[in-house]
Amino acid sequence: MKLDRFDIICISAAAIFAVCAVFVGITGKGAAPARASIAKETGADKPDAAFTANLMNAKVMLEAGQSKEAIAALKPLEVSNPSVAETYALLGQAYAKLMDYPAAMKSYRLALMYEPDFCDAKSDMFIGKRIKAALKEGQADAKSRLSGIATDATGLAELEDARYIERMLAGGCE
Amino acid sequence: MVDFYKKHRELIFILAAGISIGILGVCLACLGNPRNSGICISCFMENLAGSLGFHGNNRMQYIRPELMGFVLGGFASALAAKEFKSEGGSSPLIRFVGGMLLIVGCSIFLGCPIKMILRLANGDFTALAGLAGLVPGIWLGFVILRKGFYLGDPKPMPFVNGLVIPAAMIALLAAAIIQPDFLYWSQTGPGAQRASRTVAMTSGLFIGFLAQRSRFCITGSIGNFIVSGDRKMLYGLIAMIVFAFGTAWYKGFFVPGFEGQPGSHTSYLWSFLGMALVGVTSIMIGGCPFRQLILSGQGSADAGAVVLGMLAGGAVVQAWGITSNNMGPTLIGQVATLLGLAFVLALGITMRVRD
Repeated sequence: MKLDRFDIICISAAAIFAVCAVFVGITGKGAAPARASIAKETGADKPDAAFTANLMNAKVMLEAGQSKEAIAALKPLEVSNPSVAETYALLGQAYAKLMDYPAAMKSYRLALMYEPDFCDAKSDMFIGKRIKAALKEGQADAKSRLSGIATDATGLAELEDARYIERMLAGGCE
Repeated sequence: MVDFYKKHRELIFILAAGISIGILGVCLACLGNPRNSGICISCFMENLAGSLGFHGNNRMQYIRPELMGFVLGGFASALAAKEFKSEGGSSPLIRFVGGMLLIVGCSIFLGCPIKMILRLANGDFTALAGLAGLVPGIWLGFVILRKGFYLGDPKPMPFVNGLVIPAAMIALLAAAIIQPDFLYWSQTGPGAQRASRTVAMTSGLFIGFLAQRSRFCITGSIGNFIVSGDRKMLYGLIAMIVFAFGTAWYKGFFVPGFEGQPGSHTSYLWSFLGMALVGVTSIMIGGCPFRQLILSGQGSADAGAVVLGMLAGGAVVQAWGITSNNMGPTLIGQVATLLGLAFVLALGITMRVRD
């Protein structure tokens, strides 16, 4: 079989795509975590009774207005069980109360990544209104940071987190 | 009046199909379907695969009556117009894989070509990257066709072959109504966001009927214009955009911008590549995901193979984590898109009929 110019172009392009696929697969830079693997991660990260008790304590502290104490109680939980969404939701709430919006945005982003039902009005876990209020402040905070220094790393990360949260709150199918 | 209808019948049906998809696409989202996803064949296929237990994402499990409506509307229209033809045998396995690739490409972009238009009409400018990929993808598909890519002629088949997909859709419709326990139904997430079954089914039937009459196809409308300058189908697409925009604006759904858009991400390169894959594959297998549903309703077993491929694709993209999410495309999704493009190009030369 004699190859013509079209064959050669197609073979070259297919080879380039295949090489790119291998390269992307090896480097894996900039890719988002898959929902399926997040679900596996959260499924494997089952909290024990002590964890649940500590989480409840932190919740009580937060309700009593002791945000700093709540954060101190939640931090070890974040380390011991890094895929439990409730920890991040409470951290987000605590940071927002302390007006530490970059940390609040990061925590809420992780909360929504591990538990999208937080922004689903049909779910009993729905805390969308609370997140939305924090998001508004977070966006304003990021804007003010970036208006001073356009490359401010904290502001850029905060903006990125806020944008993800905004997309999640907007709903839609994914 | 009658003369006018006779003279412009084809255009009237094309415009009617475009307008109805545009209006109902937005209205179905107003009535409960996920935002900007009033009609999305790839999302619906992923929902269907989830409901049948083919993947474990419990947020994407529902049998969308719209899907059944499209096929059965096309089926009814084909029967009424005596256009129902049971035929097939034109490289069904290639078409099956093509169906899977369609869903892979759509899931990278987060939506089928219809949803792409609906996203744009709702002000989601991130979908422009998808459109920018779809058009060259369609062009490439036509280049491949022109160079001799050929899947073989469909042959007439026993009548019952053409009935398989419509019959399966009737069974699925019954399941959607009865909601038996052995199937899966989302309680939260996009799968739980639903327009009422009656509205969804009626809209699907109406659109399916018009789409069969008009042969409306998103990729076909762009492709016909690129290849032969034929504007008829393109008018349908333009009508769809205009009416979807008008409805979205009227309903307060039009929120222009690049940020904070529902069911979107801002990885433009991957949106481009994902839709390029959809464009080229659609042309090679003879129609966009929506058109394949309609064709399967009018008796094409080949389109039926694509529909089954799309169902398998819906399962695979969710189960293997190929589908993108609001954070962007996943690693396996990126690899799958690139390999998909390499595959269609390889197919383009291996399935060539040479002089």
